Amino acid sequence: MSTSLPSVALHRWALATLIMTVLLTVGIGGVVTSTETGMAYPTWPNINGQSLFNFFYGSLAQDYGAGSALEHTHRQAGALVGLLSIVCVLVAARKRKDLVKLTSLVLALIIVQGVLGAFRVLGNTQGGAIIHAMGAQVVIVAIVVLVKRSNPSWTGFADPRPSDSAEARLRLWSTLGVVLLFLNLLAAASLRHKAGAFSGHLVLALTASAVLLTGVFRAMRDFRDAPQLLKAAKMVAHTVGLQLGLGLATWAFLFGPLMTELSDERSRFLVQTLLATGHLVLGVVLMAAATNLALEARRAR
Amino acid sequence: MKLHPRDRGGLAATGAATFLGLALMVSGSSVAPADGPALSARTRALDLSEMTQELLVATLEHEFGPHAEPKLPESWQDLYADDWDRSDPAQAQLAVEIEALNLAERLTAGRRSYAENCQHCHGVRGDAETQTAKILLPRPRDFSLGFTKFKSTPGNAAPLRADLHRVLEQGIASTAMASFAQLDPIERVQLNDYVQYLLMRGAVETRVGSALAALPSDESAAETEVEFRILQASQVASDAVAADWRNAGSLALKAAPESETVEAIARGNALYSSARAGCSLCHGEDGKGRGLGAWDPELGWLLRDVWGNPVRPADFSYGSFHGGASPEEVYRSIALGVAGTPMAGYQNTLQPSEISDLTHYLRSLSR
Repeated sequence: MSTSLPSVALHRWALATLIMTVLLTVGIGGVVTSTETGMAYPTWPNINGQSLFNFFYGSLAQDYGAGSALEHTHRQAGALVGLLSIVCVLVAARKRKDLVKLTSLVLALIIVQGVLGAFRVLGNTQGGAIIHAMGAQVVIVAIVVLVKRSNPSWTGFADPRPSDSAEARLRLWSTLGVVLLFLNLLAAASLRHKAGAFSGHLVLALTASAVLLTGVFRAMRDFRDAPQLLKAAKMVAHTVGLQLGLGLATWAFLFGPLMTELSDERSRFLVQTLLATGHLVLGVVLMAAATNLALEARRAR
Repeated sequence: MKLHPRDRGGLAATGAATFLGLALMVSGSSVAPADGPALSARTRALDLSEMTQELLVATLEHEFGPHAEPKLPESWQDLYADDWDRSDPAQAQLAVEIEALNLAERLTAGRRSYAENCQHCHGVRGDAETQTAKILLPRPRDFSLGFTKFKSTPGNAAPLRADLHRVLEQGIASTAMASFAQLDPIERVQLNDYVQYLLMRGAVETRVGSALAALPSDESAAETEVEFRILQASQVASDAVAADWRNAGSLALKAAPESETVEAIARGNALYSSARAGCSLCHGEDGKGRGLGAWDPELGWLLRDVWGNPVRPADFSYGSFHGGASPEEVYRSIALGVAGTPMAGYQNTLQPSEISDLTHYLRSLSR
């Protein structure tokens, strides 16, 4: 029996896909939503005959406005992530045959997400925009699972029915945290697309934070000898703290007492855009961190 | 899985909080409150004293209410009558539902829908002075001049309500103005009720503002005198705007294109490049919208509309007819032009048969 570690290539490609998805596709998508330019061009995927792979952003902005160029860049970022996921499938086929199904699933989810984006644009519906936003979360979870499982140091999943009650309870709370985060992101997307009330997002954000921190607490108390798990728990704790702070600032400038603090409309728009987009991106990072913790809770030790 | 006793309480609390959060989420929508100045950017740019601006706001709000609480003079109810085709069951049903509501209810519902669907581009006051509008081209319509671009009436005349309904349902091709056909038909009517309100209020405000700006400086005038001037100008402007909307139907284009033939397309081709029509000057010989008069590789778009925004002539090779691509719609755009832009109407320059030939030629360019 060979004792050599599996190839690291797939892990690196999966990591690149994750980083590009969060920073480029979700980040630019967040700016598109914050500036409300998602419908800057109601055709898909091309803009008035200009190919999706047109990289002349200056002329695009001159002809159709900077908002159109922004939306175009978001679509291109989505295409790039799609290409990266194809590379993952090819690398898995050569070096990690055990992960071909998972890489194929990631690719399929990214394609579905692109099609959801098309429905959002062509249908011009708030519901379509919310579904597209939720699709992004599903894609992120799938890529995180791929990143974890393709890591050569991944030791596999433990018994699905653990005898240790501490482990069972950690699994329960960490998984519940991911589910609640998903529901909270649904509330956030509904709020962003003017289909949901702020109070719903607030209650679900606090609930999800409490549940995630319960998981963190259990991990740090009961698994002091599991360094990967502790690392994952700390990352969740830090991200929850940052996200709550950023959420408070976003609320203050978008709906709360600081809304009229900046009298210059342009500065206000810029601050609101940056805060809302940062809050969205950090929300996705938190989803990735929470998924990581839930996976670590299931790792064979 | 058997639950640990201490987890049961936590799970019950989590379940209750989740239920509460989801219930609150679906209980309503949060739209950022409307804020900013009460006057349009156009009026604010005029040389009016602070007192005049305050009195103007008070007068406008007395007649039309604040933007968030719209109202109209009683005598303007008839301007909101639609010409429904009652032989169509869907339209007959819609007519019954709309007529059961009073105008105040329609405007309030329309304002809500406007805030959700339109405000981020067209702005609270309908003057398109929003950050989103500034990064779109063509820029979203500024309603403060009181007319729209794609309509059945010539020049700066008020549009028909049917024009507003058509644009909302179809959108405007090759622009950020998407179709809102997904909205409930009654919501679309109410939304257009509010857009019409913004157009009429905007027109009154712009006319009053211009009239006041044309008067000698009001620095030394007493408040009562300024108030009298505003009331007088407002009355004149309101009457004129109401008359514009009442007369719109009589100004609507009646002519329609003839049938398309190969010969008609050939005649249209010859006319397109001729000095008489001069279409190629702006739209280019190839119809791609980059004629010498409209586009310069160094300077970009050369033409401006009355709102001061760059004008990108339609690209016929892609079939980007902003005013609609059907023969009737293209004919209308050529005959009446596009209000507020350098695209003049040709109904007094060309014969109806020539406009018809051009219509068929332009439509053939994208096939």
